[in-house]
Amino acid sequence: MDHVSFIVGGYAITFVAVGAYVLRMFRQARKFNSAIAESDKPWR
Amino acid sequence: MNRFRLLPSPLDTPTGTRASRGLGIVVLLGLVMLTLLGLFFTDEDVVQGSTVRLMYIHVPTAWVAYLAFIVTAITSAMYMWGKQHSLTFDRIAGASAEVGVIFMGLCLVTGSLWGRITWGTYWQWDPRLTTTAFLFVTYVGYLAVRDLGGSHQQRAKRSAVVALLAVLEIPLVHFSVVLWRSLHQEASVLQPNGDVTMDGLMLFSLLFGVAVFTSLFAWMVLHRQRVLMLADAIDDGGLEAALQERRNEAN
Amino acid sequence: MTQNSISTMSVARAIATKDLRIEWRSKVLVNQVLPFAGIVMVLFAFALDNDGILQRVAPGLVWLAVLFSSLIIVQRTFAIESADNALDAIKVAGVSSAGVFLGKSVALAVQLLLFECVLVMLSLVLYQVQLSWGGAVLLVTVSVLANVGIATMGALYGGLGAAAKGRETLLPLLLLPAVAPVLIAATRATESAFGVSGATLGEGWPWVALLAVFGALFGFGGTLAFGVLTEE
Repeated sequence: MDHVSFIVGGYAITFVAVGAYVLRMFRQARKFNSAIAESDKPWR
Repeated sequence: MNRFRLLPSPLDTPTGTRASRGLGIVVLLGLVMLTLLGLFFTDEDVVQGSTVRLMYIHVPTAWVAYLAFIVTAITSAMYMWGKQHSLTFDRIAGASAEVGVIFMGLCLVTGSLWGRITWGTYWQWDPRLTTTAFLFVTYVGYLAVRDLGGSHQQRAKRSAVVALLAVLEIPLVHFSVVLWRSLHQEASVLQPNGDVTMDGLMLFSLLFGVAVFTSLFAWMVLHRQRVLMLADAIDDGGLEAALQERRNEAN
Repeated sequence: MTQNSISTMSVARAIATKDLRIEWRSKVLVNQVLPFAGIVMVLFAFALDNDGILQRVAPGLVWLAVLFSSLIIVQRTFAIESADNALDAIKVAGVSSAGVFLGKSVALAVQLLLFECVLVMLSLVLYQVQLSWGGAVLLVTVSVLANVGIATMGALYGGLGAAAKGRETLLPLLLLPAVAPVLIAATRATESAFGVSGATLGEGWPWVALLAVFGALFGFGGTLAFGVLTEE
């Protein structure tokens, strides 16, 4: 495969960016978890 | 309390349900499969060579970026003209815009990498790329408007209007750019997707990529709008919730 | 939103004349922002440093200078309101927001027209462009129609920035992408007016039609959106 660095780099950037966003989102979720009682959360 | 704990923290989140965890696992497996397909199982293209492998990421990100834009526009309209002005629509609009901005950025980056290999330049002024860049900036503006403060309903109303204005503006921008570039009579070969005759597996991988990324988008927006709901509740709860939050952080 | 007996048109007329009268008396735009636009035109020459190129890109440079000036003009037009909380007073009085929007837009459009006249004359001198009578007619039409688009979007997003506790830094980010179509069309039409790059006058008029469409769409959209965006 030529241009390996570009291609693998493209895949890597995508997964890293998405992963970082998801981790940040989970961290926020844990931080804000106390705001609503468990029973009030519409997804429970 | 849901005791379905398959994944250890930090991959654990209070916004998860059994269904969303199932979806998340499906998405994860799909991404792994897509990577294997894209990097290993598919053949090189006759014309483009190995650069077509970037397409399996680039095309799905472009698709999700535009999907996110549409979702934000529709949920904004549903907020504005729904009888209850439900803030859930507003939060979905915001979540979709955030995720959309990320995928738009990725679309521009992967497209730029593809262009570097194929044309030797990181950027071309073709209508689709230019419009995507405009969409990106417009959405950054939309997110900035969401942060202007005020009550939740004010935020929802303002950003809904800005999103609907974007629905007006983006086609106008695209139309103008198409007219503009047509003056320069560029060869139609210079399209980000290029001239690709795809065999069965390649076509499958492309469509599979679109499906996986769409599911990923849905999963991300699902979680994000739940987090936004928690954040809004913190705002509403005021001091007491903030104190509780601090106590949580300390643990 | 209550609408009292004062019609939208009289509100618009009152606000437009008020704004223009304030500018006529204070001459802030003429004394401060117009020189700014002039400096921008000169800086373009420093940056591009090539007489041939300058003449060819003169249309674009003129409209860029207009757009950058419009950011300041829009901020000024809403700053004069927030000085005495005048916008809040107007809202409390229940005056039609469409009237406020139209009045602000008209005042902005008139001020922009002044800028375009001066900047075009400057470009005749600085960038050595030529202007025939036919080109001048085309140019005036282009300016009037382009201003409808720029002024309405400026009034809209300027109003949002003013209402949201003075977040003026948001204005460029929101306004410039919105008026990009106007920039494209106005520049192409101006190229025809100046006759650069072999563009003939006939090629310019279709872009004028496009500008009219943009102006109509932005005017309509802005009128609808202004009330909601400037609510407190």
